[in-house]
Amino acid sequence: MGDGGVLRIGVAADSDSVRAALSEVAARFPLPPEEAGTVELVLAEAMNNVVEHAYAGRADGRMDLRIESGPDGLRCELRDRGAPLPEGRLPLGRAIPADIPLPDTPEGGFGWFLIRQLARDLRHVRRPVPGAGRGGENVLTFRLAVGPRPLDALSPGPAPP
Amino acid sequence: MELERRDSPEGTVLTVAAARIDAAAAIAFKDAFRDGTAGGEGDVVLDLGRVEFVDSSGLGAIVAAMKMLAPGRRLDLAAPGPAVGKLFRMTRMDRVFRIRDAAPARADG
Repeated sequence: MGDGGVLRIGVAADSDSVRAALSEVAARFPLPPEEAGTVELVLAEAMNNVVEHAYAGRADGRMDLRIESGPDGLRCELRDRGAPLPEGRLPLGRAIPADIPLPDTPEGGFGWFLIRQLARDLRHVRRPVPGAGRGGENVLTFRLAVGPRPLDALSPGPAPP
Repeated sequence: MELERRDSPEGTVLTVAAARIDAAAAIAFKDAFRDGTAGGEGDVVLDLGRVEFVDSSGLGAIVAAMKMLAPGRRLDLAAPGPAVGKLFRMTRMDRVFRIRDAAPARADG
């Protein structure tokens, strides 16, 4: 993976467009399988949240994904003009509680849990958009600690004492 | 989405003939699962050997599939790849489902 590259993609808020965007990211930032899987999963969860919740199935929604590759991984920013997050903040997300009876196994709610498990430096802000009336935008930023560590890999390291 | 169906001594085996069970495929997966198990009885093994990617929507669809089965019919999962296996462990699905290394052999040997 090249260092310092930036990818910007506009994505329509539907699940097929999210798939296409994930393919584009994978092609632009080649990674070993496990890291590629982490990137794909976190970005899928973040973008599908926008599709399903911020735009709630509205057909005309759009989002903007920006990914910058750096020495500490991929810095990601996802912006949309859909609804604010519930209570205006990031949901906690959940895993399946241990020993829950099978019929009560939840079918959803894992998305934020996975994002929180796999991403670093997770932040969300809701901010006004100039000229957009009362509308605002959601800005979700996070870092995925993947890729080569050029500073570690290429430099000889500290000189021995 | 296509689920290839065959019988085995350990129940009906449904092989997911797709690389992804994700938000775009979740509804089609549930429909195909319903069709593939309707009218049958006995346990079901979902063979994930060809699946490379599952997201939380796909995971929810697999849980929904389990709940579709009549009481007493169990759903096992088989042959998840590394990424899918990791997802099951992270979300503790490995406590909900029995996860087999491989799908059962064919009934005809």
